[in-house]
Amino acid sequence: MSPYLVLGVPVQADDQTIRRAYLEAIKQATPEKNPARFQSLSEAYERIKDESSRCKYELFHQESPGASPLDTFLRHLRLVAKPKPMSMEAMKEFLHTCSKT
Amino acid sequence: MAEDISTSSESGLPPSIVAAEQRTREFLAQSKWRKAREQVKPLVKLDRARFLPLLIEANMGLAREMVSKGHIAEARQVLAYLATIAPREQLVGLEVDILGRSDDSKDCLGKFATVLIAPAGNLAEAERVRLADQVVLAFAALPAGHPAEVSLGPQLRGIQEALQAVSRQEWDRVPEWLRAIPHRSPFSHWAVFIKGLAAFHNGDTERATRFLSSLPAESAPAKASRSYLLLTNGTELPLNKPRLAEVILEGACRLAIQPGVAGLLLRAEQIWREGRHGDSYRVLRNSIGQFPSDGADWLGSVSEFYFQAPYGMSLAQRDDYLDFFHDLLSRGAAKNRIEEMQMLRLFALMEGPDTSAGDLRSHWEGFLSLHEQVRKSSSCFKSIAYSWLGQQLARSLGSSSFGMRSGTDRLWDAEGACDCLEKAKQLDPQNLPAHLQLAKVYEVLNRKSERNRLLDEMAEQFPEEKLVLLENARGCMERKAFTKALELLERARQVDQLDPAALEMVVSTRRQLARQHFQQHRLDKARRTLEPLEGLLTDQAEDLQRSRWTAWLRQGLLERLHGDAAQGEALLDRARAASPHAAGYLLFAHLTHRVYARQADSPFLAELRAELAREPSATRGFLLLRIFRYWDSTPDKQPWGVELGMLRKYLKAAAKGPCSRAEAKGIGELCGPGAFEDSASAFVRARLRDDPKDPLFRLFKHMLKPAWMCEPDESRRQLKVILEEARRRGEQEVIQKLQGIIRGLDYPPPLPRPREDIDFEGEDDWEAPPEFEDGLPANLTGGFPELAEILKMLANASESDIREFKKTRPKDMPEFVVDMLLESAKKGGLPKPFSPLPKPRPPAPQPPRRPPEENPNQGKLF
Repeated sequence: MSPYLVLGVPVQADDQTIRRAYLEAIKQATPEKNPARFQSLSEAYERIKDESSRCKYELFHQESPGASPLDTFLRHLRLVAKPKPMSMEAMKEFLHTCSKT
Repeated sequence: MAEDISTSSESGLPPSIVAAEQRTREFLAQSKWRKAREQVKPLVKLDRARFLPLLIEANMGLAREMVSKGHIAEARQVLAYLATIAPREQLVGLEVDILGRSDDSKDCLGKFATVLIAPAGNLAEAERVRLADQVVLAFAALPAGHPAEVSLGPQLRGIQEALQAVSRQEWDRVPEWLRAIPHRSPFSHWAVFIKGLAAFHNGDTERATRFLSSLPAESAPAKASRSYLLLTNGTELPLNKPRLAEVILEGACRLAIQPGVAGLLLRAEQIWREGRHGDSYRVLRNSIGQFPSDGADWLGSVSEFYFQAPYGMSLAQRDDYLDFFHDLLSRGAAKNRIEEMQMLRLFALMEGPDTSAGDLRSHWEGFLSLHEQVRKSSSCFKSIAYSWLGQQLARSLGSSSFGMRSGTDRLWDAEGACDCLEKAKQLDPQNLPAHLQLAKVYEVLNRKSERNRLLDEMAEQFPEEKLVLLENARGCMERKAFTKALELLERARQVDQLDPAALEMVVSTRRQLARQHFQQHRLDKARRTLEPLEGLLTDQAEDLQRSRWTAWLRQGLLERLHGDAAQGEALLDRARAASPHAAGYLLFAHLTHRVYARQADSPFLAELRAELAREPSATRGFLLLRIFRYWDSTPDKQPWGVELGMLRKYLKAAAKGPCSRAEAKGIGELCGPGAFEDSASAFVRARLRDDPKDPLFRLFKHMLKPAWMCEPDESRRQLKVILEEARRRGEQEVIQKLQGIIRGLDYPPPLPRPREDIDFEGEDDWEAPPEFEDGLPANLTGGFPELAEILKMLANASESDIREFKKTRPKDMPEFVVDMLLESAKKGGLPKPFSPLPKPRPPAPQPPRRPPEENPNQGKLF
């Protein structure tokens, strides 16, 4: 997945913004608490930590963000989407639809 | 069934009734409810106790079928009939089903609640859960005065209010409302569901997954949870049930505020899984206006997937997929700039064996131009991009030498490489790799003055950069400015003490400086120069540059030639004792002596000959060949006619003995075509006898064929067959080598450019080339010390030496040149003072580059 998405920064972010986002994120996901997340954050940071790395990433990176279109979509949602709860009406409709499947 | 019939027969029923019962059971088994009902009705009149259960079963099945088809009114009629024949508790499940599907579920709330509070024994757990779900899903309060109001009313309210609190994000109130639900409540699974929702929306994925995946399987909350679990990575989509998968995915999409894309994504996914990658891309491309995109949203991620996926595909899949994009690009049918930009990037990075340098450059520059428009590329970005392009264009198209041994490389597009690297340098003067790469290209192209200028520039730009210091030191060594080189190397070592390249260069430079001092009889200075080397030497005997025995041997020879002979002998004795074996020592000593003394002979030759006559082995042969190649690659190399002959003979004999694959590979690589061609062939044949399909040795065999035997198309075909085998065996080194050679066959180097300093106007001043009818003119040798040395050697050579010389002459030296040399040697044509050669004719201006199929050099592998 794109290191920008992993760190939650825009593509135009500068060194400082990226570093701040990285430090903030690893405070939440320490190596002891969440080693997998910590590793993915560190890898993402290494890829875009300065201008040269960012340029190289954009020019040459060859990793796929997922194994298939759907997998990529779900990975994106899991990483990025911070879903807000449905409204009561939407929830009612959703529960009714689900109960009929 | 057969057992039932016989039992019935035993019970004395007439055969027609037994047959009717059998048919009924068959209809029931086939879910043919109406037929079963019609069949069993008359039987019930005959024996109610026996056949009523069958009638109930048929009606129940019929009612459920009607419910599933949405025929609720008809289902109600069947239920009404069932109420007259079946016990009440047997119908609860069906009633729940019918009422759940009807629009007036609120009206049924009271009825459900009544059943729910009935003693638990009357209701199966699954029915109880379904009933509780229907009660909650009615989203209404129990009718006033209902018998269940006291016990279930507060719980129902608790569930409804807790859900309300979740939707309002009032997280503190959720547990307060859920406190009303006791552990054994029929709504307890709803409480768990709501706790899961709260955890999910608060980012506690682990807790959410735990709650949401612990719900009763067929309950409404469990069904709703599947969409949440999809987002917590707690479940997989049931892709084999497309309708269900779509509902779950659509739920997840709704949560992520991306409603309406589930069906599309599932279609694209299914087509992708079928291997129709281009079609899968097309589904999204044709259905979504903004696709492909480079945004930070899901469209950007999925677009990125489609352009990154080819890097992980098999060759065949990749080719098909790239063809799809190629078709779009060639028709100028790119949907938007992002699509065009990504396609160009893909083509440049996925350049195949058929890509030309021009194609690569055009794709890459097209990508850069679009990137500039879309994202306003920085100069750092463009500089790195051009640096990469320059590096690609400067790739070696297979060396002119054999195997993996480095030789005189020819570059894919040398001019293009220089151009791109210059551009990279200008775009970002701090781009060190571009500077270093350009220096390397200039070196390969032998453009010394440009290289030196660049090195000076780099020294100013990057004064403390190790790689620059090393590169500059190399330049100084070439100019024999050893003291300056040592100073630069010391600075490089301060930056990185452990850099092996810096270490080797220090050793080499000190040695050359010491030799200079010895030759000028400044013995103390020479010895002092060598003293610091002690700490840099190694005990690894195979290291010809830094091993102790080779160091003692070199110093011993220098002492013997220019200084203290006794000290020299002592050092030589130490060297001999520490060397891996006598033949290695003698060959190294002989070659070193020839270089240091600049003589055609050495005092070690006779003993070396004798030593080589004993038991040849591949292991020794490999070391001897390494020693020979070591000296052959130095600027001090001599004409090695005699040594070549001895080694060839030794290796030919060694090839008949046992030999490991690694040794044969090493020898093959070091031999190459030319002087050691027959030795290489002997080892290659030996290995192919053991493993006839070995791709490495098949490649060697192919490379050893004379150029005239290499018809280009046939060569390409054979090499591709070997490539397949190498891929099958996963031999990366061989794969890369083969790819380089195939590319070299397809794209020959451009013809040399005319020198810029030649004045083509004054063509009349050029003299015709001289004709040599009576051997070579004596003054010709003045500019070539090697030629003078050969003539001197031939003048004193025996008949057998001359025969050997003829055999071992350089490959590209025609025989008549050898005859002329012999003629000159007989006449005693020793070198006279140098007189310049006649000016060569100017080369013709460079014609436009030919397409590959017209190239006359095609197929020449070496």
